[in-house]
Amino acid sequence: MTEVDVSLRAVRKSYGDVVAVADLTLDIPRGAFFSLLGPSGCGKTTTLRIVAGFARPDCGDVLIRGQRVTEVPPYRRDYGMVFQNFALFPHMSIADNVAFGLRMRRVDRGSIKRQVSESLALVKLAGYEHRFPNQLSGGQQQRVALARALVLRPAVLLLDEPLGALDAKLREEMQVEIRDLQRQFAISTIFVTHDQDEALTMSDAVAVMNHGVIEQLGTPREVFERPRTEFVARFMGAGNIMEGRVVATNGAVQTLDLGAGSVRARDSGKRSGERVLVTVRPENVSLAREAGDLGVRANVVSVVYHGATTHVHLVAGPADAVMPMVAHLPNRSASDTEWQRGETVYCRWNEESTIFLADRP
Amino acid sequence: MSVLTDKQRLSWRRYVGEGAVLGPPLVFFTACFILPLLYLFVVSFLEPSQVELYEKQLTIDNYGRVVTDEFYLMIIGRTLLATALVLVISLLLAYPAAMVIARFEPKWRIRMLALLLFPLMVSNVVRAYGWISILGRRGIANTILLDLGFIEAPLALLYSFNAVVLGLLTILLPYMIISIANALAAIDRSYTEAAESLGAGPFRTFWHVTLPLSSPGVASGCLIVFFLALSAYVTISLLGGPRFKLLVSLVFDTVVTLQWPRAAALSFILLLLALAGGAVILALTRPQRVRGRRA
Repeated sequence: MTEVDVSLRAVRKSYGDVVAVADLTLDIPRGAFFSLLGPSGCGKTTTLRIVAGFARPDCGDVLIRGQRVTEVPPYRRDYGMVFQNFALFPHMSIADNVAFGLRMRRVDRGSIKRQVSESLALVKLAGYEHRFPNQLSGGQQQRVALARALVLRPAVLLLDEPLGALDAKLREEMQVEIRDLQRQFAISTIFVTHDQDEALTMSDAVAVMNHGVIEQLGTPREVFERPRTEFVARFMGAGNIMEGRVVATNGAVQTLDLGAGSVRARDSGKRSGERVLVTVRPENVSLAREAGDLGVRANVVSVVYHGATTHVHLVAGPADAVMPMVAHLPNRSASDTEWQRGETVYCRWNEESTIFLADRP
Repeated sequence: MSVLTDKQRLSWRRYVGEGAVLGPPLVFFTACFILPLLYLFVVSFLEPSQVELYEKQLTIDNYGRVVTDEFYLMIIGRTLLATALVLVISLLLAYPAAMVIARFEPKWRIRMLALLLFPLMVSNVVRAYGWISILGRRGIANTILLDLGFIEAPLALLYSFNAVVLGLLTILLPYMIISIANALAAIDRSYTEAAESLGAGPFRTFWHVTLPLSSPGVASGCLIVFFLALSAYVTISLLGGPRFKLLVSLVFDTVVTLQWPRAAALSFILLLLALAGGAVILALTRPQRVRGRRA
């Protein structure tokens, strides 16, 4: 069995009537980069603050390296944290910021000096010892915050939306840098973000949270390609949510009637006549002007050019049950079909692209 | 017209605009404060006169007398002691109170700070007389102590060091609390959490993070309290009375006895004390460090 660095056992936390985290159970194996992904208010930050000890769960237990720390104050827990605004102490030099944790642990001076320069070298900030936080760029401050958290060699690294304060280009650079550092230290990491791109590119495992519960936990690929609930599908950008029923099963392939047309899917185990909720990723949808046996009939609402792709927004279905749909079509050559607003088209995709979702509650 | 570039014309216009806004207060300040102060400075180096305001004769005697006369030195020492005491006591009382107030939600914090401003709406004269009715020979304090049999004869509570310090404290404490509470409330929670995440317990988090980050509020509170304590006249003269005089009382006495050059010299000594005290306060609190600058 792999070692577990952080465990949450049936953790619950409410603020007044609002349940921030509901009976959350979670294990983070040693060395994993684990993302908590979700919109604001989904409970991801509260979960992180419970691990850090800044929020106390109403019930349940928190374990770090197998030790129960539920009642242990933050300053006696074994973790390093990077805050959204970095929270570098403005009145201390970069060296003093990085040395702070070592000083609190009463490490001797010589050793502090050595570890501080090692840490700063690791984040490519050797020579910045005597600067102050306000003299550094956002990316540099971010690296100091990482150095300050990692210099203590903690059991776990907590990252609270650490890229939110950076501009887009820098954010991508820091994604790579953080991941490299994390691998180098082989440190278990909990990363809180609302940005699905960040979660997908950086993580070993992603937990998508909504209303205080984990809707789906899996590898980035599983979460992205095989969302299990409508919420996860929407959050991962697969907005084509369609209701229908199974009309035929032919070997491993089923035919679904979606009202505005039929599509094929891999056998879901559902029987003929059963209601189903499905989705398809916009990049898997292709459009055609000709009707056929298969395809969802829809009207083009708008066509938006995005460089590498063109996003075609559509509505399908009868007036009393309109289904908004979107297709991301690759722009390969000038001879690509130009889609017009108002025209009627047929959306098609292959059977592997149809994803079954859990029924709406 | 062609001598000026567009950019120059634009900046010239801006100067005119800014001048129009800054001008009136600047003129007022110069005419009514800077120039009289310079005049006073000159007067402080002139001989006193029996018939005129001063004799047109340069001297440093006005200052010489003050720094050699034991009475003046005693008054200066007493003034510094009283203001320093007011400063220290108000700081010690205000900081914990400010910490409590700073923890409230903004809505309630503002209400509590507004409540602190209430006493300031009552005139200093009225408040000083309030203290007199409490501390006087037949005041409330003495009456109660006599009735309870703790004392045989009324205590001389009024016209003393303690009365002046107490009176100044009640006036100045709110300023200290308000400035520290605002500074504490402005400290982002993530700083103290970062300290805790790095292993600092509550005391060390306070000492290494909260206290230094609140230094701008401590500095401004101390400066306000120090300057106001040094120059408060009504409270000092009503509660200190004829027996307990501070430097401001001397300036007043010297003016009413028409020794203008001496009064001017005393005023400048008072100003010097204020500047020196202010410098000491800034050196000790180092508010500039919050902006990440070296002291």
